[in-house]
Amino acid sequence: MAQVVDLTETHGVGHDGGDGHSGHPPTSTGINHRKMLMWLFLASDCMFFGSLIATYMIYRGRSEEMGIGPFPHELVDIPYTSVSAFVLLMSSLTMVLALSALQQGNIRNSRLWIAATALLGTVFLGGQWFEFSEFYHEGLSLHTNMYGASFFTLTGFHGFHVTIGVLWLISLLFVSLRGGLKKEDSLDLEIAGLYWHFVDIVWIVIFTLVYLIPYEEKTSEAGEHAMRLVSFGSSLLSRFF
Amino acid sequence: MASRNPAVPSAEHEHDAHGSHPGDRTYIRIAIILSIITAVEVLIYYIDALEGILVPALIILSLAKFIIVIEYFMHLKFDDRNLTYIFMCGLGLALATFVVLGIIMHYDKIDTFVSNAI
Repeated sequence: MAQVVDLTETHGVGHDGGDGHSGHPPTSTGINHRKMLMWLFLASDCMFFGSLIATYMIYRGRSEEMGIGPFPHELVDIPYTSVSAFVLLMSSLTMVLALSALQQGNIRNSRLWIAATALLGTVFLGGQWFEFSEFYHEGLSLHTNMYGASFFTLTGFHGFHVTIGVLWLISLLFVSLRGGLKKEDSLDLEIAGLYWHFVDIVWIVIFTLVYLIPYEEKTSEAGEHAMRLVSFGSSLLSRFF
Repeated sequence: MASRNPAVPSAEHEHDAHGSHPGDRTYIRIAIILSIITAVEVLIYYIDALEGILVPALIILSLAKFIIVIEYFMHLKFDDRNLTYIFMCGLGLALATFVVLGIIMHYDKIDTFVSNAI
């Protein structure tokens, strides 16, 4: 005999998919649709940034080979960017503390942490603006060389994501101040938090691949050897096939 | 994988309740760990003796930071396993795009190299 399951009891009230929305209609996966949609968006955004980072990694070396400066090692300021990375990392902490406070019903603290996150995000954006201005004054723009084009596109799109996140947080802060963000609405903040943390993990990757990993002659020499090896292999294969 | 039968909540579903998320102290500890890893990354960048292992070390450290943030701050460790699969699909495709683009550009360089040699 088929087992009759009351979805409303098990999902809608008893278990809500971890969203904090007790009135959410039942879903076949047990996961709130909004939360799942945000994760799907983040997965698609991974591909977007993956393509941008790959393009940057390919082109920054090419501009050095072509001899059109300025080059990455002449411009990047590691201590300055490290502070920016630290600021964004701390904003992830304040974001998660805001969610934790709201889930505990501490509205006042949640507002405080949301405001702190938006502030840290703004500080990061200010830092990025300053860095862009410095690079521009040093002679690097979107049109200078392949390094400039791929660098400004990659970091600019990341900055755009941070801007959207800051605006989102400010709007949530206003909603909270008007009494519209309570313990039951924690999913609203959790979804904004997922987006914010994603922006942070993208910067973790950018900070390492764009700023810290150097492009050196050794790398290109190793590439030359690898190319010789592959071309030898392909010529060997062409004799047999 | 998480149980799909809503009548029988699995242990993973039990974790979905917000009470099982880490507390504020854990979050602060994690933030301290992340800050230390960032400091180590910057430090090894300046140590000439570590030049040989710089790239793998930086990649491992940033991977550690990446995993810690998605597991604890984004709660993937405590949420439904399906969310992890969704994100890993996107991440896998991103990595594949990265590798394929690298290979395409690499072979493009080989063609140029071979034609120059000829």
